[in-house]
Amino acid sequence: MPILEIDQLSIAFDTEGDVVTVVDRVSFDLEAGETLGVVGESGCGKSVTALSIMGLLPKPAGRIQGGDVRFKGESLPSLAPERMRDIRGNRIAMIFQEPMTALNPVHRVGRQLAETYTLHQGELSADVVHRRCLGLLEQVGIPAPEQRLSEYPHQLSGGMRQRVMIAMALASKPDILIADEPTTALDVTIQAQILELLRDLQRETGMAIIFITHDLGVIAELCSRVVVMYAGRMAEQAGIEPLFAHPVHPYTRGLLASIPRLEDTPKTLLTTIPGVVPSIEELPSGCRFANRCPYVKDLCSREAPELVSASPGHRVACHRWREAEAGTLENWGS
Amino acid sequence: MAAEPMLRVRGLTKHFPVRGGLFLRTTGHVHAVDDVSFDLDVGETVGLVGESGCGKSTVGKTLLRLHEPTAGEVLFEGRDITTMGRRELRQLRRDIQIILQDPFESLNARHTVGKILEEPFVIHRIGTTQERRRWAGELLERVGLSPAAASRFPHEFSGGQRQRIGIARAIALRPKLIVCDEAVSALDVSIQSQIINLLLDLQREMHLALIFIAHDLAVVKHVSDRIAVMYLGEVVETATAKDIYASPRHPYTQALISAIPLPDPTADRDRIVLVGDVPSPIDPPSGCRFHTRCRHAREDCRQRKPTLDTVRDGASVACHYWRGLG
Repeated sequence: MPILEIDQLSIAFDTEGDVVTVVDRVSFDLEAGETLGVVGESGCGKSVTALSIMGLLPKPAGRIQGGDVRFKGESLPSLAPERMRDIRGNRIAMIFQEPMTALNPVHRVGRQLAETYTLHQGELSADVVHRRCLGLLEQVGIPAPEQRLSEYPHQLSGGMRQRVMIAMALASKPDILIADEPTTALDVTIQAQILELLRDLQRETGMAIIFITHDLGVIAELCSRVVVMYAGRMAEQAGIEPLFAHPVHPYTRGLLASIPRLEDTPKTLLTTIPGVVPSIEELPSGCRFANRCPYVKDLCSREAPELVSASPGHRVACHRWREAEAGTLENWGS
Repeated sequence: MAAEPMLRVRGLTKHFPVRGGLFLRTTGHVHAVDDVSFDLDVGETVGLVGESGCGKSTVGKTLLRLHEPTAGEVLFEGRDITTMGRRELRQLRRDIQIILQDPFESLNARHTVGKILEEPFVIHRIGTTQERRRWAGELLERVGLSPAAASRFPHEFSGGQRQRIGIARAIALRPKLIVCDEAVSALDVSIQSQIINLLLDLQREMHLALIFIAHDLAVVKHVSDRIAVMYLGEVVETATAKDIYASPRHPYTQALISAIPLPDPTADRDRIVLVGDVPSPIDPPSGCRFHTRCRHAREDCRQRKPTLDTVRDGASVACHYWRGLG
């Protein structure tokens, strides 16, 4: 049994008298110990999906409209608040793009780390807590950990703050770590350090990771399977190698083609996906990629495509994926 | 003698004072930019790349006198920008424009897009009211927006569309040089490629020179003819865009390239993971500024500062030992 099941999950937000479905019937599983990537551009619903797993949708505007999230078979949306608090932090932990939003600027690093122990692990002696905090900072590769414990978050660099946040998430040895763009604000050489750290920690602890990002390079480097989202829906799901070698959704194909690559010839035009993502107020009733898709047919604007199996372990939501797979109509603008 | 380049930057230096204490006395300096030199020709793109705090954005702003340089000269068509008076600077701003990361910050939220695009003509007293209105419409079309956008406000547009408006305003007065400061960094990949193509098109059409500043080497490489890699305020390597990827010489450039995650799960490569953080530019390391993180550093790298030596035409590197690194 997968450790986490997202089952036909829909999430709605109230906006000035209107109800907008920002995530529409998303379904995927997470196996124990694996790293699953969720990739998509701004507004695709990847972060909102993560927040809903944690029971952290902004209230009262956001809510789960339909579907279920099950952790080891237990439905999370219907849990009592105390039980959910126990799972959140203890069994499922989350790290964010900007650690300063999660770290309290007026408390020393040591105190905040210790708090995660007192909150989630009950009574431990101060001495034990101190030793464990030191151990955590060492585990996430922070130099001079004793000194760091007495510093404030603003005294740390961006990379070090992200390490502290990872240490806090690890404190209770969670089964799942949800990482929402944790390296997006970091420089590329620091990002490489953090990705290496996450890989090492996963090997040591066996936790599963959901890694949310807009960067297909990071996905390729870290994940074993990937979910591609577009405008609140799943477009495609596959193992990492099939996704990059044989993408079948026109959006995935266009996205992969439009990345500037190091081996490209300088000053040549890039492949582009024409147009823009439909705004959340004007979502079409049919396929949400229809207005930018080279394979679009009448059916696409009438009916939203269901997720179907393209091959074992490879699912796609596109009426025209067979044509897209052959690449016959591809004439991405440039 | 070879013809003078359009832009010639020599020894550009910018130090920001750090103030502290009760009377806000100067307690030190941020060495944001130290002794940066490069040339730029008509229709050419020079890319400045490096991580946070390397000084690449400060170079762009100091060129335009948005910061006053501490030292150095910037010759644009033979005239030194660093000594220009107000009048000359105003004329200069017709020839040199800047595009920033978030155009929303630089677009007046209370003005319609049409008014924003007519403003450069008003400031420089060009054209009649009707002409300006027509030109604004033409500019919008040129950057891929409908002329009807002129009656709307900046907040009604997406990030990519706002960047198109920022570009329309930058090209309004037909400048010779545009500084693009992280101009595509905040955009989603599918929009980023549209804006990069627009810039490449405009460059060809208008013979624009570009200084393209960004932290993403794959993007910089894609739009540039030549690239300067910066670390802690200094240029550590220059090369053609093609060579910088094919044969990086400086250990920092090598590490920077190897740290880029490739969108290819089958890629197999030796990653150089740099240890530690970038040191503070207030008190940069002695000798070679990269020695604290360099895996090839030897004793004298700590004491002796390497100069940026030409290794062949158009390529230079600031490292004592680059020859032995392969």
